[in-house]
Amino acid sequence: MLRPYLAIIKDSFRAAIANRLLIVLLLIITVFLLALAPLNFQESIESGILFRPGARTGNQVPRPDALVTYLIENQDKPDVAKFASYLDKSDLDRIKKDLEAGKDNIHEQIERGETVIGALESAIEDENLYDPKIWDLNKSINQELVDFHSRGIEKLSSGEKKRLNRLLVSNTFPGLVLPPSQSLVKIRYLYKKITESHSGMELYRSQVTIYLPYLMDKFVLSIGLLIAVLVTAPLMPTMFDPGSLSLLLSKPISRWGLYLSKFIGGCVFVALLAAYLFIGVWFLLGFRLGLWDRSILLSIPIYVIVFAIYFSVSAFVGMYFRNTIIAVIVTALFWAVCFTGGTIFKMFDGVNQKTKIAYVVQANGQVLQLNDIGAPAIWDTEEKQWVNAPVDDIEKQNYMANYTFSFLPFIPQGGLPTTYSGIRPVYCPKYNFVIGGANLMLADPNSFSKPRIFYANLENKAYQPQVLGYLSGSGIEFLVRPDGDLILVTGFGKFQRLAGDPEEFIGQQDAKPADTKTTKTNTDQKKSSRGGPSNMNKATQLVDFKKMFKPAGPDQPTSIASDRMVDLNQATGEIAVYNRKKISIFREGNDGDYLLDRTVDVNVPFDSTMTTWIQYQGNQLYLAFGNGEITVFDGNSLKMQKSYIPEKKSAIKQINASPNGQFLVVNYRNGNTWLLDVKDLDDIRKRNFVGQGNISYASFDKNNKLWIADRTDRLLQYDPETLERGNPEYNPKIIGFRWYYWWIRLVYRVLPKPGEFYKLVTHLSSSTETKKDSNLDLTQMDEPSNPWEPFVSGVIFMCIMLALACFVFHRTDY
Amino acid sequence: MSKDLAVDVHDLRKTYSGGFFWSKKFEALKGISFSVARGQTFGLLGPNGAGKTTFLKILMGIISKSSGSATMLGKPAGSREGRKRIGYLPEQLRMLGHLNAFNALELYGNLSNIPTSTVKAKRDHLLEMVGLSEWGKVRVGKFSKGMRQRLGMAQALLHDPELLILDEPTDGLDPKARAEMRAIINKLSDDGVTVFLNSHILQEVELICDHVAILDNGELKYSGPVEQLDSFVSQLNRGASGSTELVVEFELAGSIEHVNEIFPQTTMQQYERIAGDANQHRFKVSLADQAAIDNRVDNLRKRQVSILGLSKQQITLESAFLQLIDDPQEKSATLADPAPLNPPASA
Ligand SMILES: Nc1ncnc2c1ncn2[C@@H]1O[C@H](COP(=O)(O)OP(=O)(O)O)[C@@H](O)[C@H]1O
Ligand SMILES: [Mg+2]
Repeated sequence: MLRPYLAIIKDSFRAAIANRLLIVLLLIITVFLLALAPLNFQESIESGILFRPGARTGNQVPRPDALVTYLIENQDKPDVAKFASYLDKSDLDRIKKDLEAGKDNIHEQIERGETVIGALESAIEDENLYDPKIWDLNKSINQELVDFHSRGIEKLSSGEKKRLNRLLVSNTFPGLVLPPSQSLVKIRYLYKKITESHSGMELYRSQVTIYLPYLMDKFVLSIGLLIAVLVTAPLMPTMFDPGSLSLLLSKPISRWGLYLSKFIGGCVFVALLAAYLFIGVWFLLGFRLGLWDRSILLSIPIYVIVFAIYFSVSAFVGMYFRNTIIAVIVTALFWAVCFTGGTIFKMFDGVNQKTKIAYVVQANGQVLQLNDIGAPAIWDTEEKQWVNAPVDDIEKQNYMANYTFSFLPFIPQGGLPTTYSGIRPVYCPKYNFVIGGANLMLADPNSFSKPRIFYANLENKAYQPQVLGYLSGSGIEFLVRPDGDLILVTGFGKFQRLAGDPEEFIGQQDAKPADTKTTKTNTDQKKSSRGGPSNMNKATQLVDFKKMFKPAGPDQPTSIASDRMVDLNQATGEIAVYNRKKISIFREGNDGDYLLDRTVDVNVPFDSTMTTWIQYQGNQLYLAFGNGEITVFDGNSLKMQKSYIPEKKSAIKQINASPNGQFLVVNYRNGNTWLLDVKDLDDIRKRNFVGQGNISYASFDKNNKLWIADRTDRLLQYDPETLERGNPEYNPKIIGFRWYYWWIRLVYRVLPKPGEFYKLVTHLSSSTETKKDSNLDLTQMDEPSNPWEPFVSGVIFMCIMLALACFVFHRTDY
Repeated sequence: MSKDLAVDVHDLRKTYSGGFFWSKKFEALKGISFSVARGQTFGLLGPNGAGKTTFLKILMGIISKSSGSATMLGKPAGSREGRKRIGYLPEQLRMLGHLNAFNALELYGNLSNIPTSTVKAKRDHLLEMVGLSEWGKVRVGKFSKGMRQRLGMAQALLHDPELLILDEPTDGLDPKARAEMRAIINKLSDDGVTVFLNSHILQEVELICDHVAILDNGELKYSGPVEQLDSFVSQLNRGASGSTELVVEFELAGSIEHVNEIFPQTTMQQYERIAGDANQHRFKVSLADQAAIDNRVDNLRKRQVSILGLSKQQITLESAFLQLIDDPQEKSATLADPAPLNPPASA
């Protein structure tokens, strides 16, 4: 029964062979493969230091300034002194001076780090660095060092000596210069180095697994797709040649069968070529670079389908107009539309993501929201719109830069500090004001480590924030006590109580420049202060925070890594802290200071760096972990009651417990929101909230009402018992930007997404390994937008195209 | 509908629409009805543009009919069962250039669900039959028009069709090739295959077919046995003028003025000068009977016109055909009003 259709496919190949197309293409691919053949790799002993602040992997310096400080302050240790001796005297003096002067913006920190690392590198080069009086290698915990020692240091090759030196660096600066990976991998073309990987063979492999699909997608595919479309474009017009079409149509075969066989013929043709190309690359990478990467093989079917999507367009046009050139042109236009559509959507989406509600403060009838980059907006009750809250120029610059970065589609989003960081604002009922702190990293390097505190007194109703100054001392969160008082929590685990009405402290401090280097911004500031919000002088410290916040215990603090890991119970007034797999509960003592009441160790299999949230309300304590696990404890006994992983694929974005402790709402990065009612501990469910899948914020207010933000900037209220929507709700009209956004999104959803298929390849090639590890911190990983989405929508598009073509073919008189 | 009918058509109409938003309509078939019995060799005759190909395409399901009914071997026109059992040679067949004759037979055989092995077993015989036995491995692109047509014939015969449908099978062939093609068709019809062919050449239909239908401008003018076409036409003529006419060709030498006194310019058909000489003329006229011829000859001689030649022509199928498909108005002028051909006897 299939014979006629197979004959059509066979005929496509005959045509390709007859006009030498197949041979030419095979030749081109062969030449390409031969050109790749000289690639090779060389693995050698690693002895370098990578300088990449904030990085977590081996071989690196995660906190350059900590390294510098350690080096300066521990000159009495012989090993440290030995390394310090490689530092120029002048440099050493300058660094000391700078440190004393407190010059600690990010650029200065990095500059100092580079100087010190330069010295360490010259020490590594020195084959006579090792001094048995300073280092006792026998006692070293590093097996490699012990081995070197037992072999005899004199007998080491010069490469091994450098390795030894490098190990000594990590030995001398534990945790500050991370130990080196086993080997350095250099990729070469013939004998010329192209790139190198400092992360050892394993990581080098996994990096390639991630980047290769991306590279293939961008380079091989764009050219390959073009060639494939060009060479298959004549297929349909040839079949529809009037001289032979009548005969074809007179044969006892169905028209749709005829069309589809021709289509499949083209796909099979391309599939064979793709298989040759990709299998060739796969073998080359395997034999020449030692990388047996199956993502390359997985690419074959996926890219054939990408081609098929475009071919469905080209075939349709070729069938309709019976003209190859028109088919090629229309397909190219179509590709261009998909590409620009995708790019425009990405730009809009970037901005849209940034403008989603990330945090809400309800303050004395006013509603303040912060979006993803921390830009504040106030609900205007009359206009029923969010209006931007007044901010000063520095803040404005920071937000503009953030929006711009999110707007540029080609900048990798992960690399830039574009999301909000700082101390989240709270409302203090006692003195009727809002306070918060912002790290404006793009516009104000000074706020890198010290958040800029803004404050808005709501006595006169309108939200008019002013900048109080920079808060030093590593404040991470404001907590509001049941009595309306304010607690400032520091990263060291100290609690500080608001000493009185902030108005009393403003202006007490002499207006002195906080930083001498910012004269330029100072003048800017003067200009703006005429028109903009008043008394916002960035360089001015209006308040001495040491006076405004008074220490309130505890005696034995446990450090708090993040504002996620502390919560204040609205019923009991206790403060719960999670640190290093341990829950500590502090209560207020008779003198008003907090003291440790009870602790419990949490027994979890993963290590303590796992992202963790804590919520303690009513008689319920909740922990949530980066791997998606949620654990419910009894608040008093701290006994674990229940533990589950509701959503396995997406990372938790935030959790929040209702003040009575009865409910826990969990918001995930994929926009899903789950609700747990402790009355039935088994019953944690994704509830029927409007906008499920698109929810950016979910939290309870002090009246145990649930607030959920979706659709970028709509804020709705729910009763958690009945799940009924309540009033008021903050539901702006869809206008302007968002109106376009929804349309472009619709178009984007429908069109194929050529640039996104590599994600599926990456997903398929890595998923089996990562899926196994249930202790993975999902928050540290890129949230893949459903990698099958472009595939599925592309295939749907293709099917519609084919169905349409068959219908038109069927209905046409020839 | 009888199972014995190879083709049966009732009031078949086809309107093509084209142009801007299909606003231009063109009626290519204006309600035709006829039938072809099995075993017949049937010719559908008509000038170019009459709608012959349109009709065949409807039978094949290549285009859709607008109204009416058509069946082929008892199945609705265009149905797959019907198409399985017919062999079709389209007009001006141009096979894809990358095929050679063997490949082409394999492809079209496979498309008719004939296994490649069967095609291989049959192809030598078939190619020999159409006179292409030496050409099996030559690209079709290099074939002449006639060779392509013959290969198309071979392809149509691969699956032993019950009905062979040929659209202008001899069109564009040289006389020798035509004769060969006719021989093939005759042999097939002797073997009992029903043949339906389209042609605009009467002679061909006369030579090959036993039944004929005449299509002009989408209308069917005649359908029946070839032998009766003759009498049908004479009847038709008699019905108009009351008598049979004679067509006479004169070859005269003399001044044109004298000739025109006898034969007014309007009555002369196909006038031409012999060898370009202004005083030598060749033309045809229609005359009622022998007496009229004699009368003209006498008058010519009186005016010193030399009679170089004179030949009487029978009404042939050819002229009957030409008359049938003439424009109806023109026809009424020539057939219904023969007066100019018969000048008053007194003249
Ligand atoms: N696809 C078409 N669209 C519009 N008119 C057509 C089409 N095909 C044929 N015709 C017209 O229909 C008439 C009959 O064409 P056709 O059947 O090919 O004539 P024949 O085969 O008798 O020469 C012609 O006038 C032709 O112009
Ligand atoms: Mg025709």
